[in-house]
Amino acid sequence: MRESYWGRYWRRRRSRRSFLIGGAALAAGSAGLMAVGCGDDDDDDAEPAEPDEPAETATAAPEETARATEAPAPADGPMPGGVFRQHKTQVDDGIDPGLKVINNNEILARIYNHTHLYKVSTNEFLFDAATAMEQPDNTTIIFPLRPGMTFHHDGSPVTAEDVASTWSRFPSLLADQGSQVNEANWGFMDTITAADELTAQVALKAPAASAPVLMAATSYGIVSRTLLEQQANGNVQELDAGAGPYVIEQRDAAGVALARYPDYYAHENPSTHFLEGAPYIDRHETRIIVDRAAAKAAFLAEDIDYIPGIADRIEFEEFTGDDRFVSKEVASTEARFLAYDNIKFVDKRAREAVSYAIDYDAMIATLYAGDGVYDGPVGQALPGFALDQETLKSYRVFDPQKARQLWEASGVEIENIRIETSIDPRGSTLAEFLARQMEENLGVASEPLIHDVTTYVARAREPIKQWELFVVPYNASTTPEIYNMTMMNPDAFAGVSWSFGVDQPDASLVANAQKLIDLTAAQAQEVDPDLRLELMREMQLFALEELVPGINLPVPGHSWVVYNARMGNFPENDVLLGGLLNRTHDMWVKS
Amino acid sequence: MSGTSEATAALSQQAIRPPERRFAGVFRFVRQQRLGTIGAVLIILVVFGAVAAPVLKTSDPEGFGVAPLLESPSTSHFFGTNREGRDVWSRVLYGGRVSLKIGLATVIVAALGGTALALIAGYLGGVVDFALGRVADVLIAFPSILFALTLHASLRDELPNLGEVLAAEEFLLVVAICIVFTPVIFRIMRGNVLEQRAAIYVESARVIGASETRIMWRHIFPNLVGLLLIVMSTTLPAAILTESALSFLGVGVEHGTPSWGADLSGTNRNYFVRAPWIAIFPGLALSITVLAFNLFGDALRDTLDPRLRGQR
Amino acid sequence: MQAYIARRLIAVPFMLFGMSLLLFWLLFLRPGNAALTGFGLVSPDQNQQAIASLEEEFGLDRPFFVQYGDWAWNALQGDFGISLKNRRPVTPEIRSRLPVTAELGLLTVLLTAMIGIPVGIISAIRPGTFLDGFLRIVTISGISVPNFWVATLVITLPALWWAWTPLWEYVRFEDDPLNNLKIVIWPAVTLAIATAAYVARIVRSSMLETLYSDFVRTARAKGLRERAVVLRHVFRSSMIAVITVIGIQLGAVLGGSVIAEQIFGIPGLGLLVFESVVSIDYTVALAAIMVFAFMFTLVNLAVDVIYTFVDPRIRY
Repeated sequence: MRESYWGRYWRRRRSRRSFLIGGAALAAGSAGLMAVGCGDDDDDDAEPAEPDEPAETATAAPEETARATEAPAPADGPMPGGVFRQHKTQVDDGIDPGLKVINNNEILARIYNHTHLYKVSTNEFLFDAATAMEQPDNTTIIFPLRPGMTFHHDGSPVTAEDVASTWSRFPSLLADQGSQVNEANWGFMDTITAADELTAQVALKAPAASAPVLMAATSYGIVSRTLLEQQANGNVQELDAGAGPYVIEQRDAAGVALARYPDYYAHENPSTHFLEGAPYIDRHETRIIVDRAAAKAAFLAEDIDYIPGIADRIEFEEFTGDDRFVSKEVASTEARFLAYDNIKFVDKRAREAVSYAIDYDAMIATLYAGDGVYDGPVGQALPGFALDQETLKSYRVFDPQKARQLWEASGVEIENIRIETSIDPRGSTLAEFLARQMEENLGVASEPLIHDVTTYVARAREPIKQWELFVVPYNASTTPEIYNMTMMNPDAFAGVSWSFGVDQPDASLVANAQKLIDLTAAQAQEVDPDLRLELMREMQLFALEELVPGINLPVPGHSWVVYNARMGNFPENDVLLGGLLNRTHDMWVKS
Repeated sequence: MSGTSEATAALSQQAIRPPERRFAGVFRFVRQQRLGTIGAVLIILVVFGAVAAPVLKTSDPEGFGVAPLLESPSTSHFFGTNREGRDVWSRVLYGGRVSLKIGLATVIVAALGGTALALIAGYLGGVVDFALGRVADVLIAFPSILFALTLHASLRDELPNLGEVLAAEEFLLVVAICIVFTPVIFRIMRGNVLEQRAAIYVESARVIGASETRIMWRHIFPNLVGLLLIVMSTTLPAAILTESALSFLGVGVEHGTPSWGADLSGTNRNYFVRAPWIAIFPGLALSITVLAFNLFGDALRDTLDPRLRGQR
Repeated sequence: MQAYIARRLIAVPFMLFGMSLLLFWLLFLRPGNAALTGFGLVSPDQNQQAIASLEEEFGLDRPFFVQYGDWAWNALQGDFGISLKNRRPVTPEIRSRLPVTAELGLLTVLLTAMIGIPVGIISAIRPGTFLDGFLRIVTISGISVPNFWVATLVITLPALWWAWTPLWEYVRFEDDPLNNLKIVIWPAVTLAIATAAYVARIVRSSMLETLYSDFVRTARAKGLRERAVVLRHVFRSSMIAVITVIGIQLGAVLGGSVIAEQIFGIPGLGLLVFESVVSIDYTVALAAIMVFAFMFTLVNLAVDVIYTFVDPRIRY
């Protein structure tokens, strides 16, 4: 039974295009669908002194360094020591950065060293293991490494060979072990070599504008080559093989405790965020708290310092009056994608009918408590690329009468619109809402199907779908901009999961898919910023006009972060942009 | 449901009293069993609330934004409102429907199944009795929640929707809870069947040439009715608690369906600190319902079980 | 009696066999598994290759009975395989979590006995009084209140009122017994409410039954003090019912641990069962549920054996 089941699953074959076209082929499996965005974790080191200062250059400029070191006020300045306490809901599944990048960010980001990191909120690179990033031509990137870094397990030095061996194993990890780090995150690299002991050199297959940002992901953490060679399968699932600022002290079902690595390399040339004396915090503790009410109670009782996942303004306002906590509101990076099973909706009128049947304003009023905006293929957090509200509203009209007419006219034979989603509360409530909209406004029976993540992923990938609509709530990353098209690309998600690929039996569907593939390819390889913008706009309008492969539903107007006021220099902007709290070298605990 | 509780009372009286004094039995029950009477009154209220939910509700329990978001209890929304803008009072009323429906379905199926199997085991004895006993052992050895979890994980997508009466999820709940309770009832009833079989009246029936089937059906079964009622009255609250626990764990009713257990889980847990009423009222309704059935069941046992009579 | 115990012991492996077969079949029915959740997704071809190699690695491509036989043979030797989700060996995971849940279970049963038995005795020796009536209402309320609701209120309301909550970072008993008890006591109390109430009711009714029996009347008649009558004669003969009930309640506690561990953040077996069943990590789910069932079977066996010691009338 099992065999035939999976046989059915994977029978489909499609020609693969260039890796970059699969740029949107991001994010793997569950994480992908929930768009945690594997490997695209955004950097979190914030700098409250100049939070809005945009960085123009790829390399950290010296003057910025100088400014940053003097930025924290003396009275409230950094203090070494202390413990930062947070929580998560599940135990990690492993700590090899090349293999697992979900639910272990707080570990990966701190026990491994990275050549460079990327700070989303200010769009700048922060150098760590590398002192710079040189690009002699469009297809070569060179990283000169700092001397004196050592691995935790045996104190041996970190060399360019380690960098090369770590980064070279991505393809085999994906092919042989089902890695969570997918090709979009490393497919642009051709070869990685050690030019000398402290110089790593990466040859790209083609010019790739997003490469430096992608290479700043936690999955690029440097792993000891000698340890890898000892492991038959080339991964370091359980062992701490890093050279980062912290070592694992405890890691079990109760939580994770990281302690300072005494021999962490003291940076000679401190960058904006890797300051002298940093990291300040002595210990990072992460408790496993499954229950949301319990996590909140623990936060209110000041047992943990940070509570992720503030759902909406109502929840946010619980904390605003309380001077024990700091609460911040910034532009939202949330996304809500409603995918069609496109093969069932080949008639454009059927797709339109669904779109007309959704009361978008009611959705904003109830689900987002009135604080919501319309959204397009590129999220609102990426100004410039994102379309304006007027344009978006013109494509998202609520008109039940028209919906019914179009549904009749299209002649689709769907008696029950099944709306699949995962147990993610953002998705389950939305699916329930949409099912009601379909019943009331379209006059078609509809039911939400809420599954655990495993089943949800499996049901998305089945060749013959057991649903009509699919709800994906995710946190759209702001960079690179191509990530915003994750859900749309026929060579990736859309092809496998939304029946929207060139291998489908319907001509109009294939034509639409081909059009999006061509536009994506052109955009990814374009280096001129203005043209990139223009191509992206064209892509978006095409998707909106044709309603393929789904609908970008309205999103919350803001995102919220709340943390305990005892934290100094908390990276609030980056947490919100990336949804993760990773690198906190310059955060401190007030006494 | 009110019909059932009355029928239960009536039936119980019938078993031990001459039929012409029906109402006298009810009065006696009320006089002697004050807590039981309170329980019965509460049951009637709960059942009335569930049956009359469409009339008593103040807004659509499954609508979105039909009431203000997260408002504290007031005269227009007695139990306040939740995050989706639903009136908690209406949710609680409709939640009672689910609990009572699943509780009753479970108890009836489990009681009938358990008794039938007990009679078969007692009648056939030998290998059949042994096999049924061991199967019961296996099923009883699973903590009920674990079994229901597994069942839900593997069968959720295989089941057909039974339409208005019982959604697929509800059907699965009934199956899961039945599998847990049937063996328990089977064990109790089997012990009694064996006891009755050895009784003198059965011996005498056998002596005058009654067939085994007749003995089972005409002599033993009527003697089990009282016990069966007691078992059912204690199983019902347990079944309701199990249903709500499973819904709480997210393996119960369909998402969005009002259910006391489900309303204490999921997104609602984000708002318990700010809006305690969404945590308090569904739990309170659940507790009171279970309490009412327990009180009534207790009183019923006191009335029906002659060994305990006269001890209070 | 020895023959009886021997018979029961022989039945244990057969029951475990039946349970495991049933569970294995249920989980086998389910499409999808945890190994596939976190896949990098680029081309279906690559995915197919990765899936094939995973299925081969875990032996998922074999027929049902071959898979079951293989699993059972290894399980008999104490090897439950590796997790489909994270490839960690299952046996050490179970071994590290079992004591946590066992502690919670034992503490709950201890509280159950400490609260339930005295309350039951007090009610039974003063039947019909105000105190009895009051305790009767308390105990019947106790069995009616769902534990997940109590647990929710226990963590939510104090946080709301006093910015305090009975949740601390879990420490293992062997590392810090005092702090460990401080943490585990709350879920234990939550779970013990219902079980203690249940035990109190059984103690009361079984004691009432004996209080009116002939041998108690004789004991009174020969001039024994009431206290001695109650404790020496009545209570001892009611012990059977109490032991049975506590035994059965342990099963309820094991089931309740799934909920309590989730809410109170106790890293025990109950939490593992829930997570693994939900994510179809079925090597883990199978092992964890089987350990639960095994524990429950053993407790039942122990209860039956203790019977024979407590009640000299019982001879098998």
